[in-house]
Amino acid sequence: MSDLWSTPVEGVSRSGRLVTELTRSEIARYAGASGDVNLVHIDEPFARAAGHPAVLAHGMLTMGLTGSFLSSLVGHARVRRFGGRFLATVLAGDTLDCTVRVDSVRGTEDDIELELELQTTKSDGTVVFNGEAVAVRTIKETQ
Amino acid sequence: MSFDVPVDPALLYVFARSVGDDDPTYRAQLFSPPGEPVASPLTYTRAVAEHFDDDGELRRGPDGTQIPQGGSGDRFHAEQHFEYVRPLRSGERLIATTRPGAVTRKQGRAGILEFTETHTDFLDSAGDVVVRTRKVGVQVLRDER
Repeated sequence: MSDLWSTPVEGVSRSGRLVTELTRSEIARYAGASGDVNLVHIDEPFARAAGHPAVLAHGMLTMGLTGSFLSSLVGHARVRRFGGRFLATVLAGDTLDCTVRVDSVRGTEDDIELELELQTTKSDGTVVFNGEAVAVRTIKETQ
Repeated sequence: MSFDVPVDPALLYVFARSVGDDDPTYRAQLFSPPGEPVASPLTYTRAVAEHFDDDGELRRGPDGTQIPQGGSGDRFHAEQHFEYVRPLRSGERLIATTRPGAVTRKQGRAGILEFTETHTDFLDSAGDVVVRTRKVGVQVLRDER
């Protein structure tokens, strides 16, 4: 995938698949890695009793998957800010896609700062995470 | 309130896999020398902090009695924000310092929504900020009309 530094122009965007039919084991793996073992994420009968059709993915799993896609486009160490709002729940079985769009470009060819908009959606178009980020590439990195 | 969070390349590797980050850097840096800058998933600090916060609401107690039972439908994680000051360094100890932020209310369709900010800064041993985070939680309160 072409990264965003090759065409740092306002309006340019990159889209990609974050996960296809999120599995319960992927949610459980995140629960273990993060330490958030809330039963609504890992116990199907509990989740159903709480009114959900299946176990819920952590909001931070959705954000983490989104962050991984962002990192693949700009590089981990170049991200200065990353944040956003959780807008809808993600369930086991959901497929997630993300689009990262260049909102503005500042600086010079040697020192570029990108303001980015991020949107993660389910396959039915429901927006589950709306975010923003700032990434910086400096000439010092290559010296 | 504060607690310590380690920057352990093995934890970075495990956490990266859990968020679908298959960058080979995580395996390559597994045995990096202490103090060397390491790649980190963007949400690592705030996400893994649950492991090390003995007072965290999502933490299951050692005796197994404090099983988190959220998801009742009236409390949500509404927003999360990160500011990265410098890269993490292999083996360093981060001191997570949490303080309450603004509390605001507004009327929603399901009742009154109360938004609560929590700021958590991750400091290095010199007391300098490495990562700043801001969480916004929202709770649906009984409609007071």
